[in-house]
Amino acid sequence: MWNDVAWKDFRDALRSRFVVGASVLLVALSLGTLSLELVRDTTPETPTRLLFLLGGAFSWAVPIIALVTTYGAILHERNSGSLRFLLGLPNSRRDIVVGKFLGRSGTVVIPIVGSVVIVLAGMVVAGIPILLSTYLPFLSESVWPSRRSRRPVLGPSPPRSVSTSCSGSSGGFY
Amino acid sequence: MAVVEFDGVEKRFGTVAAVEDLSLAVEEGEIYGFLGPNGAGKTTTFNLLLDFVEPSRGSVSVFGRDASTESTYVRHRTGVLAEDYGVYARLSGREHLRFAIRTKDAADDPDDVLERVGLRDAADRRAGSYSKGMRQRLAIAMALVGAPDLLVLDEPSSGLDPNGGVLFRRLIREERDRGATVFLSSHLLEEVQALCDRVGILSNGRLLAEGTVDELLDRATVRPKMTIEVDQVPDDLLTALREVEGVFAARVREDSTAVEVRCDDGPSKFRALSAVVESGAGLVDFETAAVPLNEAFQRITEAAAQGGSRD
Repeated sequence: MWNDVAWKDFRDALRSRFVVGASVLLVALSLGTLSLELVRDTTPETPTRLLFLLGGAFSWAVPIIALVTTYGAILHERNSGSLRFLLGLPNSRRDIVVGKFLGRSGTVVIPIVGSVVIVLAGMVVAGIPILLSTYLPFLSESVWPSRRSRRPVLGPSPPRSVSTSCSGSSGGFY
Repeated sequence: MAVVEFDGVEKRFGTVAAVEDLSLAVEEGEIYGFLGPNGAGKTTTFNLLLDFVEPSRGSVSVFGRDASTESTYVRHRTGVLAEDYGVYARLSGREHLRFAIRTKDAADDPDDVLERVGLRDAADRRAGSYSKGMRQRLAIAMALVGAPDLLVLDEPSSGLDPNGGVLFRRLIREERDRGATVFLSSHLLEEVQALCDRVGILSNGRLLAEGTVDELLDRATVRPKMTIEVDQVPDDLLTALREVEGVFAARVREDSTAVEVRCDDGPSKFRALSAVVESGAGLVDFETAAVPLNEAFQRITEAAAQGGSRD
């Protein structure tokens, strides 16, 4: 079933050096941005500037992480032959696509949410005012961009056999 | 009742027919073996059964249901060992089993299943560090999850060491005794002979012959070989030998110091030797040898391809 595929994929991805490294990178970017801001004097523009800097960093890091993660989810599974395990078990094609989408989403969304939480915590500690009306849209935009801000990352489409699943499971991130 | 039924199935990839006009039935509770050289269409047949590919023509049904439209149902009741599978290198053996158990809604204990294939001690290791034989054992364990009614095993003993082969044959017999139907492929005649109730020979996408291994050997007139060393080969020796009852073939060995005779066991051998003595060839020595299985296999395939027996 899709939830078993999602859980399997999530656990598998968590042990990938790339996913671990990417999560560390996101957290480091957040902490770096935060500390850069903290060494300056806090002004009324600080929250906005923080968002601007973080947004810039995330808009590069998140699509790349999503791309590599989804590549692993689809192509690696096919190339290594483990797809034959997946299809030999009573999973439908839909179970596999939905399960992989959710499992891999988890590995991308969790570090994003974690980074934002760290930044918010840092702001509380530093006494910078938190305006939820500013931060919540930022968070939701990182995870699920609105149509307006969604932009293509890939030029030519990937190989035909994977294009549907690949763009499907990574499309949510950019 | 037939558990697996192929009816006039054809599968083409472009202009190449991987399987042609295939009709076969695997009956409930039997161990059916697919024998054939590489590229014969064995894997395509399994892929059709599991809905990895769809037939170009004909129908495939499993448990009386359409293999394509009701594939999830079919796979729920089937244990699968596919060809060219790869393990999840980052997941442990136990996690592989847990995944299979959850997906099949089975109640097995992962460690019990790993114990059956002799991988209990490696349960916590990442499968990426397993040897080829261990990966094969893991794949077999995943197929056994949930006591499936049908086991579909593509080249299950490839990569297994001799101990693994013995273990595998025991497991398959246990499964059959439990009531499971087994459909496996192999290119090892010996294994199929030891294990299967019935065998189908596939070559170039066609089912050439079906039956027990002994029936097939008989049909191909595969007989033991007797080599008779002589001083010289008289002109009429071969003719005389071929007339002996129970002798199917006779030929002079390349170095002209011996004749090779294919004949039944028992008195036929004695009669053949007598014929040599009577011909004045000068009997030096003789030895008999059972048919090597790979040769028997080749002869079965050839005989089946020609649609009859040959000597």
